[in-house]
Amino acid sequence: MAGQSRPSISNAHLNAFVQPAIHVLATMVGIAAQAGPPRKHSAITDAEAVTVMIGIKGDYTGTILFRFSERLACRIVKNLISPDREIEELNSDVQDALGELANVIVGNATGHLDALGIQALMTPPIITMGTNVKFVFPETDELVVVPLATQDGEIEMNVAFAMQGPPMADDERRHPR
Amino acid sequence: MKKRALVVDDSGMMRQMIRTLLEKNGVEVVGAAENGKQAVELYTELKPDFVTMDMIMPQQSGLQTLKQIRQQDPRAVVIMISSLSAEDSAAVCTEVGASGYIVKPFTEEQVLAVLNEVVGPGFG
Repeated sequence: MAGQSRPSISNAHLNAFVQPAIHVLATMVGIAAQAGPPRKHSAITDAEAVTVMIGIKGDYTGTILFRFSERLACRIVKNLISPDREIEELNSDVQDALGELANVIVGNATGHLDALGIQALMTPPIITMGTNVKFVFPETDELVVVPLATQDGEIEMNVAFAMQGPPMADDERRHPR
Repeated sequence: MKKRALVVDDSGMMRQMIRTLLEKNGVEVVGAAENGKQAVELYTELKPDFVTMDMIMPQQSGLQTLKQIRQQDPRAVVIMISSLSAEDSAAVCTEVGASGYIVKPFTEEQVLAVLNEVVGPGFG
């Protein structure tokens, strides 16, 4: 919703994503992560090797992006699917595993948003590989970047959303995809 | 006799993760499906003792697939496995016949607790 009624992304909104991200990375991947200070951005032009995008619709519409360096992507996928061998290329296993990881984080985040009174549904993940990519967001979206530091590098979590349209009807809320 | 399971998830990694966990605990995984249509076909063909069903899948959701399987077999035991932690999601699944609900990320203990409750005792 454009104009003065559009609320900004608050710390509570960000924590709805940060807490699940740290929890999922620890329990599913076995990697400790620490959130750094959030930064406001208007666009993303320096893409990392792998970017996973998940759409949000409902009381808010927007996109959550997770950007991984090649080294960190391979480390995460090694922990997830093959602890006994190194992952040396960004293949379909990496796409699948990082897509599912992001799916679990954002799925958990919808529960945290629900606790804030915000209903949100999510779309299946879309994954881009390669650094020559520019992401442009709608002007109505507020974009906040939260770095998640790990011992193998940083995951950049980008939260871009805006409240648009009337809140979802009760019937839609109770029947997620 | 080993219980026979069908694993449904669009993520190959998650299918493998669930298969490994089940087989480690004495379950025979007789089939794995990556989408809802394939799941219904495999259920008809294999008649497993229980199904683990991902909630969010492209094309046809786990909820729709659960409904189709329950229409075909009202006694089907289907355990939903989802990243959606909101209580509403579990309630909707139960309304249409899910036997259990597990939130991702899960631990082995959490999965075994649900299996013991809805499939029968003796897991873990």
